[in-house]
Amino acid sequence: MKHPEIFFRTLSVPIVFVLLAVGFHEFMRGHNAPGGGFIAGLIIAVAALLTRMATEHGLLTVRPRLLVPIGLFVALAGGIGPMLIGHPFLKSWHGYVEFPLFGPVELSSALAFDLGVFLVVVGATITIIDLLGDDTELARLGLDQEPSPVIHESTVEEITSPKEEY
Amino acid sequence: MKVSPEQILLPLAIFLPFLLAVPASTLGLALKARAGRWLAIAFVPALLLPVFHARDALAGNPFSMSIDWVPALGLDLAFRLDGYSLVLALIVAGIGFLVMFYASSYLGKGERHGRFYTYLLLFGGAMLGLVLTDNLIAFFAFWEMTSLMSFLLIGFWDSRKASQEGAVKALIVTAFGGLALLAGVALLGIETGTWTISQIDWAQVVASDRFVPIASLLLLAAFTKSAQLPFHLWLPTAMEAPTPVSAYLHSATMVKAGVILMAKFNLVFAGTALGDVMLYVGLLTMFFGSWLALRQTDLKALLAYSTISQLGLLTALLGTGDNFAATAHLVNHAVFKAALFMVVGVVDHQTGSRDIRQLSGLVRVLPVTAWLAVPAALSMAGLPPFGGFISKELFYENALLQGSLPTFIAVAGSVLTFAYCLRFLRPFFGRLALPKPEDFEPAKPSIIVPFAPLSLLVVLFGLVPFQDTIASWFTRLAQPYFGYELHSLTLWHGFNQALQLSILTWILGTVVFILSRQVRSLQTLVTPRWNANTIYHSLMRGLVTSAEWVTRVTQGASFATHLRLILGAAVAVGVFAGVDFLPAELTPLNLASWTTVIIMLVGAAGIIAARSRITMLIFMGLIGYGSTMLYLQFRAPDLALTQLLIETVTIILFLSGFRFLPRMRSYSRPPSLAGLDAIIGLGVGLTIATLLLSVQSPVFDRISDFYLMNSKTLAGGDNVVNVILVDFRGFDTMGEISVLAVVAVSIYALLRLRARPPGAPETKSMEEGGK
Repeated sequence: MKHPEIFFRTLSVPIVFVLLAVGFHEFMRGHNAPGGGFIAGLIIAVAALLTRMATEHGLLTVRPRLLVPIGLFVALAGGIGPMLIGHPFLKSWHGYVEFPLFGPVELSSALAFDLGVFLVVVGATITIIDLLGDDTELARLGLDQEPSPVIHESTVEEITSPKEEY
Repeated sequence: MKVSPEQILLPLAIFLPFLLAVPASTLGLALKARAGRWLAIAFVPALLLPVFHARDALAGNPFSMSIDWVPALGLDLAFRLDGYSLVLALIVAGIGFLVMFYASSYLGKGERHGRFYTYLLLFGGAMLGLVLTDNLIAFFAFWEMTSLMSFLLIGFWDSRKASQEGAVKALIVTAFGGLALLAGVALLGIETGTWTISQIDWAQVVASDRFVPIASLLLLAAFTKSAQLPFHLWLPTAMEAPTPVSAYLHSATMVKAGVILMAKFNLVFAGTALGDVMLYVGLLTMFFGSWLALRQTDLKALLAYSTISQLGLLTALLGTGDNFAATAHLVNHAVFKAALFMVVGVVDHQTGSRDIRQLSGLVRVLPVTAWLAVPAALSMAGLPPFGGFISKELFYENALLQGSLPTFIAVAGSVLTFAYCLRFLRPFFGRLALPKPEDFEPAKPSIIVPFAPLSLLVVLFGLVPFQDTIASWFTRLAQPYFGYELHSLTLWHGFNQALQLSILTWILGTVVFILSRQVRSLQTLVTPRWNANTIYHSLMRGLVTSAEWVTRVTQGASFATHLRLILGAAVAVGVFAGVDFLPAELTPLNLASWTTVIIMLVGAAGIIAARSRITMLIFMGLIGYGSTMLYLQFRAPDLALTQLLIETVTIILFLSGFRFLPRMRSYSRPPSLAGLDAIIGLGVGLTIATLLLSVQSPVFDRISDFYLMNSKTLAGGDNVVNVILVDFRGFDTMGEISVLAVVAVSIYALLRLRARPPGAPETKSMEEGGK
């Protein structure tokens, strides 16, 4: 992925912006329409990966794996919050809050919990794919070379004709 | 609300040891041996318990309190100060207090004191909890905690191979018993409908169908913990622990937990066939323990086998249902055995040896220790005028009531007991001999003071006041709990049968001691080549061998075999589940859906036919995006959206992961195997389909109606799926994202963190002091 196609590189910028907007939208409307933290998290992760592939530098300035504990903490806090005022774990509250420009926006305390879910999903997805896509990793495993024709591992089934196909 | 001192004292008595364990562990290496003297404070509140509560307990109106634990399940941390619990708490706290002092003089400079006192305090707290709790689950929890602390303390000198093995053996045996206890306690709770021990209706338990399993499981737990045959094997190797630990855990308190269990639940056992099991297991353990004790050349090992033997005696007494004698002997044994262990500790500490063959005439160099050992050992031998004599007489009276065979075993065991007690005392007298005289150090008073009161008690239990010695304080205190008839504890009972048997015991015991050389050759002659230990070791070897075999067979080199086993198991489950399958009303497919299904089928067929990974990935995409379409057609936009994104991310994941894989090869497999694979593949498909369809069947009320009804009103959301995720089933989601986090961390660890080169230091642990 060292030399991404020029179309891909050019198009990725508007696409990423669209994805970010869609992700935010999905997240906010999750309580009442299709969406929510999980879906929004995946969208943002895809956006981040797209940037990574197209531009060699990431969308995020933090290390994605840091988002995982932060997200867990936020979700936990969203759950424990109600306990502090004497409600059971994760008891939710909802109501309308007046915002300038936007008008009334419905907010739910479950949104904090959902934000935690969102962060964990984004962090975990990017971390895993980043790790697998890392070229230094290949070098470490000795897989950056052309595979040697010698077959190292033997299996229980007898290998009769190792054909190479792509 | 006015809080009385009693209400503070009880929680303090149980939790102070736990609380003090926190600074003890935090200070770690900074803690000196001396700290034991301060940390002994932990046991003071428990020692004060009888002062405040003995009157209520004697009146049969025990103080109790409970702290909510999991109120939804009816579980609470209930404690109850009945007389028997008070007696036991007094033993646990009293000996714990003395042992803390003793350890402060016993442990050397380089030891890890913080760790040692932490374990000891945690054990003390757990043991106090065990004897005072009135809740079955808490009883189990404290029981397991004592097993764990015992493991850690036996393995305290963790660089020694013998300590490691001893610790593991003790844990395996007692944890096995712990599992039995868990099962027994669970059955008991289910049968009686209460988790409060004092509310259990024993008559109902005895009458129920579950009586035999409950009682057997509880007995099994008691036998493992109290080292009854054939589970005695862990106790001798537990002697690898530092001697203060042996004095506390493995003679006076923890090994009594089994006896306590039998005593607390005695109403179930006594008078049934299980009572006889206890009687005979106890008697045989007693005989066998003393037989082996006589063979030992190590003073501490001798005491270990003697403890096994004495625990057998207690079990036998409980089997006859005589709780009075059992309580009297329990107190006696705790006192004299703790004293004897501390004596051995002093001998070891000052002379550097515990070997009976090397030591002689110790009274000349350790006079106080030797003269404190004498009453304790003679009490164990059952000689007047010490407390042990009185309880031994009670034991004989019980054995005589049981018939001639129990009496015979009891006398034989007591003869050997008498002989090994003399053998224990032998190194203290005669001509002076030390293995390394130059290393000898006179004992400091601070190491003798802790067991002096115990030896004094041994005498008081026999003599003061003559008519009904102070040992009867304990039996009187426990009386309302058991409801037994109170006898006076006095030396002179008249020249009855029991006394005649005692005199016979002393004569025969002396003969055995004098003929020790001949007895020893006889013992060598009749000792079989196998014993509980060899059985244990071959069992462990068998376990390892079979584990290796299972691993080799199921997780060999071939990935295909893994899949066949896993998926084959899934099919087996499917066949099992399919029996109850009820077809449901299914929505008919329209044309669009049929098209999608056909696309997905093409994808499936394509994967089978494909010969390269990229092709396979494309066909898999067909299936994935096909499911997305199906979701849309069935109006599940949330699922469709999720599936769409997951599918996309999965493809990226595969593409990145492919580079790690070796080149594709095609394997030829025999037709029979190919057929098997086809059957498994079809089976898995059918299984999943059946499972999905059976979820639709109207066996249960569907929960979705509840969600649909209440999503808006209770959680204020129109999107039911999301409301379920973040609200109704929020706990599940919390668990799921935790799993996701763990997966991310694991993959990171697998791919990024390199293995440390051998020899590189690990992150430096807090307590890396030498020992």
